[in-house]
Amino acid sequence: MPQWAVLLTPFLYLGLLFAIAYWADLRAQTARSLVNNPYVYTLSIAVYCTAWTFYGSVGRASQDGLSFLTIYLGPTLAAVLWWLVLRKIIRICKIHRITSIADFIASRYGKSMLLGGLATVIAVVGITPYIALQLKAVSASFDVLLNFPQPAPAGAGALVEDKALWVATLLALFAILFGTRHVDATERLEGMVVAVAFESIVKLVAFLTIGVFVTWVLFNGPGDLVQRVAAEPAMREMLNPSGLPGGYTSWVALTVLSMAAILFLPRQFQVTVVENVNEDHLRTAAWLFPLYLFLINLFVLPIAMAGLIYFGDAPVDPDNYVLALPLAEGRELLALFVYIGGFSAATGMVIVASIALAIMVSNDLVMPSLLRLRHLPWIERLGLRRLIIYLRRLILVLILMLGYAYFRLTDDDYALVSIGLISFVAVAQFAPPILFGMYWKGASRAGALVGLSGGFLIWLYTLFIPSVIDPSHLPGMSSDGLFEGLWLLNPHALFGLEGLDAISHALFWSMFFNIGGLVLVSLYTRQSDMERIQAALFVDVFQRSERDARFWQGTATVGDLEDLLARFTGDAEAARAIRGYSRSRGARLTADQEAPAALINLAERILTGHIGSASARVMMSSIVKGEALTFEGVMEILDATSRAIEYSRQLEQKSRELELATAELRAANQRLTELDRLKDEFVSMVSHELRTPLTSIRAFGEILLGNQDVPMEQQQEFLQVIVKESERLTRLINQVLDLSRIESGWGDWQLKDLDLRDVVEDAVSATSQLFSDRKVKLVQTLPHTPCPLKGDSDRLIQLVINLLSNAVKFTEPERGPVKLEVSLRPSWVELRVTDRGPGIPEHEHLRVFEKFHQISDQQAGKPKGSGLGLAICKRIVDLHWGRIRVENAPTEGATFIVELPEAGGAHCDLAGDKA
Amino acid sequence: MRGGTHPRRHERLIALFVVGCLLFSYPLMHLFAGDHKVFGLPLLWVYVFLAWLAVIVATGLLLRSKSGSDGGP
Repeated sequence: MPQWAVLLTPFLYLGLLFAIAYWADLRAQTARSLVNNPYVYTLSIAVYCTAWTFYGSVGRASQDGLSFLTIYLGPTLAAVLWWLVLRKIIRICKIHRITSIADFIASRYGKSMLLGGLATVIAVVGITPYIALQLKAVSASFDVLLNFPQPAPAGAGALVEDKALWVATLLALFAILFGTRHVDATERLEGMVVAVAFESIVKLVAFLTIGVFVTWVLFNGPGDLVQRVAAEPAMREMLNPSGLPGGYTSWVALTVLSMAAILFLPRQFQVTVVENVNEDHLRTAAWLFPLYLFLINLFVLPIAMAGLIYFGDAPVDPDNYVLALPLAEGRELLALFVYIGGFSAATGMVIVASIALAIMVSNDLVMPSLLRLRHLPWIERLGLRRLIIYLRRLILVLILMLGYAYFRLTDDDYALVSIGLISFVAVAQFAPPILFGMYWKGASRAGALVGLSGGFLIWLYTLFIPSVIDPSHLPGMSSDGLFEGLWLLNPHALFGLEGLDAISHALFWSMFFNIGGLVLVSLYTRQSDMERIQAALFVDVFQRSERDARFWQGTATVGDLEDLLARFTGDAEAARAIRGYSRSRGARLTADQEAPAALINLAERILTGHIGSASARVMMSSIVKGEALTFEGVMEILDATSRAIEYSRQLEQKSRELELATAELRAANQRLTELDRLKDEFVSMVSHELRTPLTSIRAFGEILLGNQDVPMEQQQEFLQVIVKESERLTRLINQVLDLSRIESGWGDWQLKDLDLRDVVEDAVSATSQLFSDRKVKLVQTLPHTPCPLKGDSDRLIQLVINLLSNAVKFTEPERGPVKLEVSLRPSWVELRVTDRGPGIPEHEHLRVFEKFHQISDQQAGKPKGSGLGLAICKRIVDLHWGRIRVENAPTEGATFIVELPEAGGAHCDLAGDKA
Repeated sequence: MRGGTHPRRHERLIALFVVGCLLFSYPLMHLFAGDHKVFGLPLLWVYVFLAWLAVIVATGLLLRSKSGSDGGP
């Protein structure tokens, strides 16, 4: 391939990237933002897939088979918990205006400058190998593209000819243009995000293309590849069916490492947390990002197998199989496309990581020391804003050069994946202080300091230093007599711990000291007020609305505050912040007025976005007179706010309850009025019913009294009527009394276990006189087994008597007998009383049970009953949890059916009751 | 506020995480690490990719509907 094409393509590609980023920044200003959608967000998270994924995975897979996957399974598992953990981090960062991992740790542990600085150092030193990895991959792919099939010239050439240096310079330029334009790090870098999302698409498409090409064009599908590899004894190691490749410990260690990496790599923190527009985007990203990882890893194994088969013993670095395969086939355009894919993967990482690190270094390392300088006022004449921006640019270049230096130092000894894993272990050191800090209020600054520095030192000693210095010079590693007895310090078997691979070994010991130090020291130290405040705010971020939290008891004038803000944010920005505040509070603020506590707080947050939390704290304390609040003070204010919220919620609930009660009262009142009306009706009906017999008694009495000459037999007849009517009156009064007793419910009743057959027997004997008087027969059908019931025996007897006497009343003797049937149904007992009367019309079936209801169209002039008998029946049945209804039996009369629930079980004691 | 239409989403996510960890743990992986082949591919490879896909799909299903964005974990 012509050299000019290979050299020109990446430049053209970077040009395209510039254009995209520039366009996205323009869109951001016109408020049609591209980043406010979950797909761009997800693609930007895919910056996780670097040259390591693109080139290194194939290299790793060709040696160890499946073990490369741990780096992607870890993030998949971590993504399951994103909704719980990452959302909390995002919320905290938004509220506190945190823009980097170092600032997060510093802010959580009492806005500690020392911790912020330490975290920054760890991040910079830890990520340097990672940046070097990308440079190495880009430069190696250059060489392959230019020189294939010859192996790359051994050793790096002169500086000027080194492509990696040029790439690094170009990337620095890009990062400076799109990463360091604003001072406020909380402002989103939309251009960068969109460019990175675009690169994620390019690398995915490139890798899938080469995967399909290798699997189905060069070979006949994955099955064919597996067969061929299995046939070669030398390559069978890759299929390694006997267990987990690389051992189980390594598998677990790598999975855990990558879980930590996806959350705490500075570039991941930048795209997932700082650049997050909407927490809700996490819902999509949590499955779409793992899906992206799944797709980009689908063809790693096929390509690795194909490389092994194709090149065999030829001197081709497995890391370069992706490129070497299409080149060996003479597909130069395809190779160029793959090369661009790898270039995308590498540059995306370098750009985001260097920007994230530059912000971290300037906010948490350089700013705090700058603010301590005595000559600050002199420096300020240059303009602090300009100073910060230029500082960040300088730092960016330095970081990239640091990566380049590491790349030159380690050179060719390490495979891509091994270099990346060194960075992963460094980054994993952030996991304990952040995760413990988010869920345990007791984690203290001293603990975090001890843990973090312990873990970092272990990492330096066991991984970083051996990677840059010839390990044979290290204690315990050499056979030199001088180091005899220092075997305990062997960096690959620290304290004599052998049998682990370097990564698991370093991870174990660094976590041992990191977590151990953090927990142990936290348990035995006292937190300062500031630490306790921050701990409470971080841990309870979802419970409190601490936008109202005030940390300052002292006073400052609005003018001072504005001046301070203007030093870092510029005059216009500062004035806008003050104006915005006074507008939202509806108050006019003048420069010499005392600033409200909330405004002081707001100013501190704005400063945090620009210069980090620790520095912001220092700057605020330089103008605010008086003491900062104590922990108790802050908590009191917070609790007062949450109490006010709680009160208003309680009030709301009370008013809802009141409304409910009013409605209930209204309904009750309505019911009472109705009852009152019913009672009046009842009284008037009773009086009416009483008057009818009374009238006839009185009439006949007067006749007898006035006319002495009434014939004897007529006198007899009249007296008979009087007696009969009096009887009717008595009966009526008895029934009214009965009804009122029954209406009162279970008051003086006795609940007992009864047999319905006994009840029927009693009722039949009580009514036998009635039957014989009217010459009506009664036919009973009773079951042979007991019919257990729960109820009051007197009432139930009354029920049956009422039904029987009712039946007698309406039965014409010549038409046949009254039938009484008792039968046991599943779970209830049924009693049927059938008469031989005229029957009851359908529309009366419900109304017969109402009080004083008498069937009107009866041929017989006078109603035969009081109209209360059936009402009493219904009441009794209701109180016995049963049902009563009436049916018309064909060719017979009416049938009254009573259904009562059957009693039973251990509590039913028929025998005991009888005894 | 907290929970919304899925008051138990948090518990389910944690359970899925635990299940995911178990799927890729030694005892289960070991079950599939034999000389067997499925569609001509080593069984372990097929298992790992399928289990991976299952975890992704389950995560998507659990987070499908919008709710609980105000509640805390």
